[in-house]
Amino acid sequence: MATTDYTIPGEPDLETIDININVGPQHPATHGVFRMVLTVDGELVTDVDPVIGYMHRGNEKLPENCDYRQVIGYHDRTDYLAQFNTEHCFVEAVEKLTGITPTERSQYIRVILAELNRITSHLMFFGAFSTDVGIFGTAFMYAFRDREYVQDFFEEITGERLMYNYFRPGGLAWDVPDNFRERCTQIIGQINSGLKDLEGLLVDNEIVLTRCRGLSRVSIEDAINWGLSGPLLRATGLEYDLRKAEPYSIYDRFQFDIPTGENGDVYDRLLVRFEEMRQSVRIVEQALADMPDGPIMAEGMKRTLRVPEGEIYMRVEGPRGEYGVYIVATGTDKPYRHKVRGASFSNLSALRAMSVGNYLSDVIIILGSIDIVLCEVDR
Amino acid sequence: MTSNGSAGQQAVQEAPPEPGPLARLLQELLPGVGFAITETPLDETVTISRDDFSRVMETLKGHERLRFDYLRCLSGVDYLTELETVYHFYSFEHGHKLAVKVRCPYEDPHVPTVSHLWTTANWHERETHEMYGIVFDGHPDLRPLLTEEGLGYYPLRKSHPLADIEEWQEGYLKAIDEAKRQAAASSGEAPPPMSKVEIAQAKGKLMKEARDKARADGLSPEDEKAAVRAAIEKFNEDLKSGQAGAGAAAPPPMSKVELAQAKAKVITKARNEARAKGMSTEDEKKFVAEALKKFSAEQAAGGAPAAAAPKKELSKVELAQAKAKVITKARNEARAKGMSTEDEKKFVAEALKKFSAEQAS
Amino acid sequence: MFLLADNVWLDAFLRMAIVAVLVPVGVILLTWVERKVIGRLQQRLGPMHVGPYGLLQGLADTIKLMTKEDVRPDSADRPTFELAVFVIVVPVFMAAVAIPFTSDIFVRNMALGLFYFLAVSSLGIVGFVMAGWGSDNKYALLGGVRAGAQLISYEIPLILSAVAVAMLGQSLSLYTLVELQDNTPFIAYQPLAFVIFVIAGLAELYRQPFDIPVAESEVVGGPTVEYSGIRWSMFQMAEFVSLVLISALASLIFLGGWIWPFSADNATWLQIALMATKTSAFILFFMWMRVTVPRLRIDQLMALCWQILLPFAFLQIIINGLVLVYDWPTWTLTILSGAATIAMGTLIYYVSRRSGVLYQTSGAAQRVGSVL
Repeated sequence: MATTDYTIPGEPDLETIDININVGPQHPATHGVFRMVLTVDGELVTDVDPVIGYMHRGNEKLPENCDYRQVIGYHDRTDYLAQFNTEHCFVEAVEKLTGITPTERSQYIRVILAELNRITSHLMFFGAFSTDVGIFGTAFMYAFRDREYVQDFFEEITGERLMYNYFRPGGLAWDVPDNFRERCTQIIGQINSGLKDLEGLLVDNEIVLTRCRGLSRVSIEDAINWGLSGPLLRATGLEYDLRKAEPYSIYDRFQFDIPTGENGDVYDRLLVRFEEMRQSVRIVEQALADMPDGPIMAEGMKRTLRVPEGEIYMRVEGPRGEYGVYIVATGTDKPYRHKVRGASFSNLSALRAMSVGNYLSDVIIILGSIDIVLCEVDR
Repeated sequence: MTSNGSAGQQAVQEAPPEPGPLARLLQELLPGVGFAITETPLDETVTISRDDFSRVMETLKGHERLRFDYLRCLSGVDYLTELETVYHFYSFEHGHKLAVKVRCPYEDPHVPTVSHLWTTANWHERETHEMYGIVFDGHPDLRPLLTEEGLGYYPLRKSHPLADIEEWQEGYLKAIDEAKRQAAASSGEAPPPMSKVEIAQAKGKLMKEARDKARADGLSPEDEKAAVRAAIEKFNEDLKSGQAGAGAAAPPPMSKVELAQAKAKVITKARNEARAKGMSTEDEKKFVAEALKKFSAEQAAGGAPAAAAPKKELSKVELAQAKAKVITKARNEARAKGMSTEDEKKFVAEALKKFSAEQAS
Repeated sequence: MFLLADNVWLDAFLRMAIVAVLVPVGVILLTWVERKVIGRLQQRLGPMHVGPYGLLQGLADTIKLMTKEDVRPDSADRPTFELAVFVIVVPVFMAAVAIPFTSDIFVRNMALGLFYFLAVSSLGIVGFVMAGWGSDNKYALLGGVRAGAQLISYEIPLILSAVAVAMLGQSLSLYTLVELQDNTPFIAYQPLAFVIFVIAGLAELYRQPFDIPVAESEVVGGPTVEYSGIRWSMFQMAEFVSLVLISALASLIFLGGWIWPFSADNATWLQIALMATKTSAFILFFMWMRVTVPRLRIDQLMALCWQILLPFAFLQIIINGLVLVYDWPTWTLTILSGAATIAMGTLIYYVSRRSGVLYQTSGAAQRVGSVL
């Protein structure tokens, strides 16, 4: 407990100390089992000590005992809000190591699903953020209504609501239903109309503006040094998106913009995420128009997938930033080393630097704006 | 990448891969530093030695032609004899990417920190430290990040074999369950009822036996069905009367009277012993109580001779370490003998099996 | 009068019953209304299963809360902890005594009713500070301190806006103030005071956007965090009764109570209907606010109070004084006050769109070194 030299006016002899507050692991604002020990001087936070690891399940150790196709399930569980994006990363990594080329159709479907997943993840962010900033559930319900449409759609395709386990090295587990195009178009319409509601309710709200603008400004240099990625990095004004910087899969075929902010503050992070949803809709529309028919699984895939000796650090642009997987393969059917680089892990590590010196209420908002997924942080 | 496990396959030495533009640049900027090139699909990868590490890292971050300002990922890898740390870099200024690997021996897992150059390395290094035991010299705060403090082992090292531990754990839990059941049986209480799973398993076994028997006897399908049904009914009746639960293997439990007599004997013996030793009254009491406790424990362990708790009572960690030792030893032996890779694997597996058998006895 | 008897004692008893029985029952109903309304606003159904349309949900909750274990932290300061609830609840009921619901249904017609109401209802602050201190919980402590700061600050614009009305009516009796509004309600003369009263009233009820003392995502319920069962439900009751009372007071002094837009000798049922409509309108407005707006930060809340609401409340009083002293026609009041209202609204809009103009930003320097 730090003793400050701060004294109360008129009471020069009265010694005051900062108090420590435990926020979490059971606290409504920590989005899961995350704990931070705040040292507060009144309402002002003078120190933040993030404590993680409550969700640690050995998601890097377990895959070392699983065959490559079984590992896909662990990626669903790593970032449980962006399952398709994480699966995409792992599947691409295995394909790059083995030299499999996935079929055209499956690539398009992957991109469509990954982009829709980005939208659901951001909707989840807006829902959770709205409760952090104090709206009593309404924006949350609006965001979840739209998320539900997409979630239902995913369930129709994969048979699962949360842990899809749908992508496979070489293609997909099975083909999408026949009404894929119509449902997709319908869902895009629903998302577009839902985004308008959300914008009026949350993003363009005067109190949100007052609270978030200028809060926790991060410069480009700091953001890079702290290892931030995704919307947090783009909010600082740096135009960096892995889909454009190092196009993987078939992202180089689509037209889309990279939204960036100006100040790197919390409000810019909101705006960047909001615009990203619109850009994702654009990508989905283009992909739907170009999607060919054909097989969904590459030819010559064996029952046991042996990956030749080699190593790769594959990264994709997840909703939270750079999601990477580092695989060391030794020619067997199991990865020798399987490291996951979660975007929220690096983003969260900057929490202290971003939030010290702010008010208690603002630290909650800053934490919310990082958009952490604890499963990805702890793995 | 060369892993020791597949050294045999690497016997045919390929020509070293061509250095890429970045590696050539590094060689130009850092004369005297050895860069071993590895080919990987996305990044240029170089391996450097630990002595050059700090110099290389500072150049990577600071030199204007390199300017790697973004540390993407930091991972540890366990190569059984060596630990490796892999750094993935990106440069926003030049748009180039590089992976740098550095190895340190198992016995001396020290690597200089880079957290003063890239702040993001702080948490990555903490994680790698707790998972692999690599000490990052100069790191400001190497507390464990994800696991609890004082864990005592490094979970991601290969010497912490997951599958074996699980297997061992399962056996251990089963032994505890068995011991409990025996204890309950020997203390004269009714045996704990079978769990549903056990009942189902027992039933399945019974049905299979009945069916096999019926087929061996050449019965018609109808008769076969009837036979199976009869067997199940008998089983259910047994279950109701509580005979099936007791199990044939359990020794006949001591009656209460016998137990009391045995206890009295123990007490008398302990008291006499204590008096012979000239203990004070309090000490005598304690001595007797201990003897009694020991007796009860023995009773509880009862007829489960080997299964009741492992004799050596190795902790999980110790066991894992012991296993790792066995593995290393076997491997070294195999190599010394010049075995092929497959034979080596077999040899190690056998050694492990032997070790487990020893543990079980 | 159908409700109130001729016998003095019976009459007094029945009048007390208004407060003692009708108010808690009303609260039980109100919780159901709130949950239904919020449910509708959030595209869901709200309670549906207990009774028709979930009508008995409030009753079920009451039974649940009454039979729940009353947990008190071991380290709590027992007298403070247990007394705090009563210090919060009793003043609320005391304040209810002064409110005339119709020309006949009231407990006591006081000559200084408005003064009494404002004086008594501000006593609850002490209870919040006591609950925050007595719980021996850091969240509760923070919440209690926040509650103290917020409620005391917002008392001032609330009282000043009520004073503006009292100046106009030349009376502190609520009964008289209502009777003066048989032609035009005071909102027409005092729009600025009305807006300030509603904003300050929201803050007094610590509802969004001013729910800082109990902020769920920050201090997890603030002073109430350690309370359970019946004690916690008393906090809820105090909150809902205050909600009704502030709404009733607003409709009395600004919307003409049981008289406007009809005449002073309305039938009783019409009076009840008028009051019920007006009060419900306010209650629904407060509920609507609760689910649509985010929360302000404590310093922004203070800035809003001391830098915007308070000067404008004084401005309203100055306007009233000028008009009364120089005997200007009453329509000048409407124009001046209306203009000031528009000015205040513009100012608030401008401030929120251009952050950092009036509000302090949380600009404390980032006191961190290179180590995360």
